[in-house]
Amino acid sequence: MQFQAIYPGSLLVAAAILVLMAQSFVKGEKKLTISLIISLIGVILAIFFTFKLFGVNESFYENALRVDDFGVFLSLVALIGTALTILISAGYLKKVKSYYTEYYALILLAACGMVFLTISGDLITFLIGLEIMSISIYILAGFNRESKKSNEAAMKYFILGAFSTGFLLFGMSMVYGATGEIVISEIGKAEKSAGMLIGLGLMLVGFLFKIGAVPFQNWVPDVYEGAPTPITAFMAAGVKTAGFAAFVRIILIAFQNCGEEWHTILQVIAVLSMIVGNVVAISQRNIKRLLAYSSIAHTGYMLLAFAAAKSDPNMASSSILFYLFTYTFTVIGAFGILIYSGRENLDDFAGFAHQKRFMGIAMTVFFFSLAGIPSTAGFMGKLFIFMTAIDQKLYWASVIGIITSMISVFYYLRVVVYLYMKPEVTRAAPLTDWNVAIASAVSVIGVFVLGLIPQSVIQLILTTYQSMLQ
Amino acid sequence: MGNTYLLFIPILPLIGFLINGLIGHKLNRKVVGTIGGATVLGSFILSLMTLFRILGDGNAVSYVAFHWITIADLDITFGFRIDQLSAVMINVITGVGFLIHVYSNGYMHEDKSVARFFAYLNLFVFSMLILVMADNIVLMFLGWEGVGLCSYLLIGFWYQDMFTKKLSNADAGKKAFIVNRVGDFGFLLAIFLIFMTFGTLNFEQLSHADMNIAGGLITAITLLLFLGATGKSAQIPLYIWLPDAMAGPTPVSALIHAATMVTAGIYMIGRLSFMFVHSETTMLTIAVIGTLTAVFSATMGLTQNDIKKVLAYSTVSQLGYMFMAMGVGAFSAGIFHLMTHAFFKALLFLGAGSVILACHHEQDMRKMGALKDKIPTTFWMFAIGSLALMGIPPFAGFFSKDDILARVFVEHKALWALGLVGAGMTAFYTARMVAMTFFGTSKMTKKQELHVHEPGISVRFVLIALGVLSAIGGLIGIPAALHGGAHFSHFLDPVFEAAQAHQGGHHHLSHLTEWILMVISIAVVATGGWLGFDIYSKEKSIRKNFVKHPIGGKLHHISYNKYYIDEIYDFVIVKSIMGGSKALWKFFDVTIIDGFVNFVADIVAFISGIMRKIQTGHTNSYAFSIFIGALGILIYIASRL
Amino acid sequence: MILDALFLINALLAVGFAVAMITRKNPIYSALCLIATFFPLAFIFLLLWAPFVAMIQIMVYAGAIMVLFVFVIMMINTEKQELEAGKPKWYRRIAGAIAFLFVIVGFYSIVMGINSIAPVDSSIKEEFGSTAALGHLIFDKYLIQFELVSVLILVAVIGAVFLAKKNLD
Repeated sequence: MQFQAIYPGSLLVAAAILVLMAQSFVKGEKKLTISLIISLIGVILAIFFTFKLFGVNESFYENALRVDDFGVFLSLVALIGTALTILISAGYLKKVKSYYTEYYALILLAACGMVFLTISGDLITFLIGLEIMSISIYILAGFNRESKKSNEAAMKYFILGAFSTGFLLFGMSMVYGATGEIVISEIGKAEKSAGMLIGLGLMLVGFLFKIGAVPFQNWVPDVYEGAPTPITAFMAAGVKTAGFAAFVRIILIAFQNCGEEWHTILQVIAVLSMIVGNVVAISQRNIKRLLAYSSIAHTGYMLLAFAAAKSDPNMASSSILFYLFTYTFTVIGAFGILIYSGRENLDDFAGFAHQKRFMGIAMTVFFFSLAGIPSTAGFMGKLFIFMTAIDQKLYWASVIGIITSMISVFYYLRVVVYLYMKPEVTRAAPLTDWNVAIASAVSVIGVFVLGLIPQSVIQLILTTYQSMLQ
Repeated sequence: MGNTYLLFIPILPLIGFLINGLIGHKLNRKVVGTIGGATVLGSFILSLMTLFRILGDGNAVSYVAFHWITIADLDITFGFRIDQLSAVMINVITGVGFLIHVYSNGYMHEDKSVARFFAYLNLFVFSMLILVMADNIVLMFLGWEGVGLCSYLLIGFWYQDMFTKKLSNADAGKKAFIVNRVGDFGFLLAIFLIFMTFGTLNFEQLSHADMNIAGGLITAITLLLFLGATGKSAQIPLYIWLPDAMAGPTPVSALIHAATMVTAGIYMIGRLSFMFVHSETTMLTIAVIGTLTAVFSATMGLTQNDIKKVLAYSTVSQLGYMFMAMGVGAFSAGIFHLMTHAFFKALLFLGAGSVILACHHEQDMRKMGALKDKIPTTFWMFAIGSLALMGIPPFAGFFSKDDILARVFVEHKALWALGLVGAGMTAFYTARMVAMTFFGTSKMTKKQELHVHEPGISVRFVLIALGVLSAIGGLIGIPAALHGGAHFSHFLDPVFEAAQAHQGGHHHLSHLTEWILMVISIAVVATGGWLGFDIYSKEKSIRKNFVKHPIGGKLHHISYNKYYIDEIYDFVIVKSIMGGSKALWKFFDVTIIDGFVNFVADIVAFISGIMRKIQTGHTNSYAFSIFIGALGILIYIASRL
Repeated sequence: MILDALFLINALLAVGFAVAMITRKNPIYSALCLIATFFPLAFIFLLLWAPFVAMIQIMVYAGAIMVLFVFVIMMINTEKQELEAGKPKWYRRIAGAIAFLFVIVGFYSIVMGINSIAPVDSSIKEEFGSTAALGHLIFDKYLIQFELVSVLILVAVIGAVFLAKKNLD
């Protein structure tokens, strides 16, 4: 059993090494194809072995790993995100004519970091998992070496990331000092103390930076815009999922006695994020930047549910998990279509839906899901979040959330208006790219399944909080 | 499991949508139209079956397809429940919907994206059916948003065209969608509050729940629900989208913006009547807003020259009457008017559509005139619709409107008086519309006149069918004072039982009072109608004098410009949000950056040096923002130590 | 007593050099101050019976990393004017005020939090920080973390090679 817990992570590392070695044997475009196949197989195997970990609910390696349904579910979400990212990357690399297969290796290694992040049982595993993921992403963000924007994005993300990790580490050492423990579940048993609270405050800074919440969000638009588009998708889906996984676990378990404090802080940050994200997004005309601000807003929604976790941790963590799942499909799908079309600016999308019928439909579905139109996954996710928040009497924050999400419809809808209701720009229709098309199709199905028949997923999620406690 | 067929009522149009939406552009346009119409016809037949079943034994029919969301004590099903109220609704939707599909076959025969049109139309019927058949609020909300979406798609159907000088069709659609979101905000918040208070979202369970446990919250919940209703049903202050919605093709205006979707708010209040009656504040608000809308929009209808705009303001006004009825607890009267209005307003819109077609897409009534003999079928049917709208006995509108006014008279005399004034104005602008369009002298060029023609057979068939319904549809609700059985109201009784029990039954008017009220209202309507017809069918100098008169001219100007409400909204809301967005953006991305560009350079001078080399610019200000956030958190934490 | 005195001296030295590091305008001086900070730190580790960490501190940070830093600074050769450019006085003051506030809050928190430090486990043996003891911990109790660090290093190596080399094919 002990070994099975590290199967997924090890498989990902093995696949990464295979990808690196493969480039010694094949050259040119073939290299890309081979790497793509190896990566996909690796991720799919990892998904398979992760799936088998459901219901285990045990700690391994002296509490270094905590394999429970909560972590396993989020591992799966992150891995599904990875698989979709790999698919849309294939299209992207072809478009920019980049033959560097280190790209796939780094994605796989980042995924490995995510897996360990989601199932980390103590603070050290958590930190190392976080760094594996982050450093891979820093490099990937700067993968377009010729592009100034890409370099800039990588550099900014790296420096600010290091800065925030400093806060995180400082907080961890305060917590260790106060409790003498690094195992998350053991920390939770300690009495609330001043050292714990300071540690909590400092660690929150680190977490909130990673998930891009206001006022730690400044890097998000620049990095999202500058990074290669598939990596942006990966950041919005995978990194956020893994970040939230560790965040929720550590706050709900290790800091369960400091509920009063994080409840207040998270509520304020949630409101700020929803307002800034949604309002600033209105004036964006670059869709990558628009989605960056929208991602800040979505972080805000999840933090709203998180704030409700003080009194109802089960519903709160369930709604966050569900939201992350829906968001993964939606946002990767949306970025996938940006790659497919080879466009980034709103104006360039005028009439795109008439050039590419199915891609237009898919993009409409993704943006409707982001806006939370019923029958899409996004609606279901928002329904849970606001239901949880109002049930726990966070009235004002919820009202602000609902108002801002109504505002958000404006800018999401504007994209759809451009797709269908503007005269076509004179840009040639993009070539069909099957990798991206498959990823989009999977995402569309995911959006509708989660929106229309979410019951099976919900059943799975509802017990995850209990699984963390066992 | 004998109720499985209920599932097919919404599924059939959905199938139509999928076929037309996905492969419709490759199909023959006749096939497309047939698929669109046949699926709705199928639903209509099933709806009729359901109606007769309910007429037979009086029991509601329900069917649960699957459990949609089950969390702890919350169980939201994907289930339908047809009681008397929803039975009326599904028959109106599919019946009128089918007729309009047939009409569209004739009307849209020149349009190149006819498949897209029928796909949207079918999707609309599907969503609307979900809305009225749902057995819980969340599923209802799905339909609610769905119809809003279709409305938006169909308003912007001819998106290349400009609706007015400033507003393109696409923008008109967007406006409708966004204004509706304001209402949806209220609806959504109400859903959450209902769940929090009662722990269920199922209508059946809610109707058995003890409303008193909500305390004062019930007023908040119902007011929020009403906010949702004002958005969808175009009431003050959210009515502004409906007149612009006329940018859509005329069958769309008939189906969505007159007969069905805009009545969703009325339906919702009827569905949750047992909840609304527990808050007198809300009920009064509904009655007052309804009355004000009825009168206010009637005044705007007086001066419009676009035939569809007259009808649009008239719809807003008639919806106001329905809300007035709901507000005084006359639920079945409101629903009755909803039904008759669906008949005659659909007829008027479709009639207007064939007038517009006959005049080569001319919608300005000042450029029409004397069409009476050129398109007789259209004229006669349009006339029936107009008489029904005015409320002339024995046409449908008379019975329903009179029912409402009589009930309002019992509750609020002042509102009744206002309603009566509104009825007079309704008669005036309706008569004006008929007079300008069909009577007087022709203002068309000779060449245009040659082309005036009756519409095709399918269009005429639909007009006649709706004409018959408008003429006799009111007879099922003849009040007792006229020796009728008030069948419609008795049919709906089971639905509103709980609400009426709470209100403690209503005071019945004596038959004599009812007679007097009827005579008064007929007199007012006849006067208004005669004035409107007389002034506008002949070239009377009173028209010009009124406009030239300093006060009269101003009044005319204000009414014609719709009280400048759009401009005010634009200034207050749209400009401020856009401005706020820009300001915030500047604040976060520009001001902080420019202000603190080099601040952290003092702390991490080394890093900054390298950063500057590669032109990253503002990273240090980002770090500064993180720093401030950290400081904020730490200050809070320190205050709790 | 003497241990306390040694700790105090070293702590003051470390803080003093750290302050000097951020106040120097010339990056070379900053780097040198940083190196100087590491020595008292290493000494504090020694006082805590952790000779291995103390050695690593000096070898890795003071030895390897700082040499790299100094090289990079010299190669980039930052001009003094560049660092001085564009610093209006007003925000320096605001920034100073905020930094001061931060120091106060931090100090206050630490004073408040000092009581809550967990009691030292009396069972800790004197050689707990020895190389042998660390080795046992790393390869036994913290095996999985150790292996993960190797993945982390792999990522770093790939990144460094990829970003640095000129032509990849």
